[in-house]
Amino acid sequence: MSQGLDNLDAILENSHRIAQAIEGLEGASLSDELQALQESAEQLEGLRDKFFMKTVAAVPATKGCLTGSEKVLKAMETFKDDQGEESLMTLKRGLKDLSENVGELLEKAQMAGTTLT
Amino acid sequence: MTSKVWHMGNRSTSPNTSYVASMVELFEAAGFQEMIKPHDVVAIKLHCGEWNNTAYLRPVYARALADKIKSLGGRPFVTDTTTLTYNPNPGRSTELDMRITAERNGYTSEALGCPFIVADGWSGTDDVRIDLPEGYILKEAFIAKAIAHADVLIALTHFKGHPLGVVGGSLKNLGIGAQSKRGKHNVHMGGHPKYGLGAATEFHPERCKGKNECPMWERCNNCCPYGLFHVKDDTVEWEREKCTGCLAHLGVNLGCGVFNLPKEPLEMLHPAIADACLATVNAVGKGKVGFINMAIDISPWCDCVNYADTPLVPNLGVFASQDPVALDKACLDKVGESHGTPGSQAEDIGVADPGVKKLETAAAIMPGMSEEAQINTGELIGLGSKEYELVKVTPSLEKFYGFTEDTRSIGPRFKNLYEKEDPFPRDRYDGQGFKRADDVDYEKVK
Repeated sequence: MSQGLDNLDAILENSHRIAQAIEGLEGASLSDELQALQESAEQLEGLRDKFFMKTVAAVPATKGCLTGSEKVLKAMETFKDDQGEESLMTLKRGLKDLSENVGELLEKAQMAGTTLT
Repeated sequence: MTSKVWHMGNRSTSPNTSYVASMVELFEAAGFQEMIKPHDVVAIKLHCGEWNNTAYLRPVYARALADKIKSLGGRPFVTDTTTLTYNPNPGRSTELDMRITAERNGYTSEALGCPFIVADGWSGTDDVRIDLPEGYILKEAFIAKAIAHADVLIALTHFKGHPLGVVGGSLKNLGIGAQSKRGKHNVHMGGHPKYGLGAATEFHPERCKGKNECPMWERCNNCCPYGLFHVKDDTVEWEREKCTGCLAHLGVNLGCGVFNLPKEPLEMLHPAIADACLATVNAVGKGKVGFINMAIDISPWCDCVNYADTPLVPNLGVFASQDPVALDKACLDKVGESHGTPGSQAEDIGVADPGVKKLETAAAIMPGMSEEAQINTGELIGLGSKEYELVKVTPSLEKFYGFTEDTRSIGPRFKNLYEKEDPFPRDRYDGQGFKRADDVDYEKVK
């Protein structure tokens, strides 16, 4: 399996854990973020069979998402511990960044302008 | 057998260590002048760069080489070949298109001091068939006629990465670049029952959204020069048995998931490149081909794409040899030894440290492709040797690498002109010439 696909599996696993954590979260309403995350996961699942995922270009693109998802998990733990406003803001910012990372990955996976010679 | 590879480094601190001077110095050190007799027709094969690519070699290198060849009595011409239709808007796939792109990139007769010739003619079929019984996979090759018929060939190569070839060095400059368009179909396994795109591509028409939903369906429908794609309302049909491997559809419909490429057929390009390079050398004649690698602007992908990414590693300098296998191996080793460029794909992939292979990890389209396969095949078929001795060439201080049109001192060169029209207005401000403040505080603007 390629490194891009390895990363994709890890992203989807992290997304699943994030979604579960959001659903069980007390003291914050993140329903919009949860919906966006679930839609992203569905779109990411659709990448699995694409040629792009086998390419070297998929490595940095998926790595960005993976790092983003790890940051969200960390922020989630912090918020669970302290329930603070600042922690919630960090968590929301992390989710927004992750959503942007996924958007970039989906765009790159279109391979627009890719030339194989 | 150990082959000699001559090298001058990446730093330029004087006219005699400029990359142009280094190239000429190495031309001599490698003995290329011995190949050229008066009146010999000498092909300088290079990559003239795709439309909007910016990493291709500046024309000044070919110009300096042409001047050198003329000084030896040779008749140089600069040349490249028409390409397969590998992207949706190819800029070099016919002689007409290539001449327009080449001129836009600076490859004009005026700049080169000799003609720029499209070696395989108007549509890419002007070639010479060469038997290749010793080939690893190719048993024949189709060499662009202007190259095959040259008395001497100098492969002036921009050394860089390549998505399918992994390495874009001397082997590829001839193994792809000296083949006619017909020959490129051969090297890219067009029509091959196992490795051809038509046979090997995984085709998933069920994933096609068709005319009903795909906004790009017309582009897909029209991408094939033979009209082998037929997009329907909710699917696509492909006459894959007729596919010639022209690569046209790869730039259009790889992203949507309808097509998927296994790695193995793509890798077969590597031995084919070495085979076709050997065929080119055989066509011109052993001992009549010199190879120069300019290891500068080492972009991940080749000059065939319409852009140039940040170089993977800093400039490595100029290399030359009569053995293309040794030459590419020497450059490849230097790339591996080098630090990766900050902010480049080498850093993105995590292979920027010295001692880490960079082309097969950061330039290849797919992980696991080999950066050694072209070279290994080249050795196996007797094209050259992977064993090399790197000979560092010291710049010659006796030679003149300044402006050659008038080598007199400044005094005699400019005295008469300045007497006719003095650029300094001595008659103004008591001989000071210009109106300026007498004194200012420089510290204030530091």
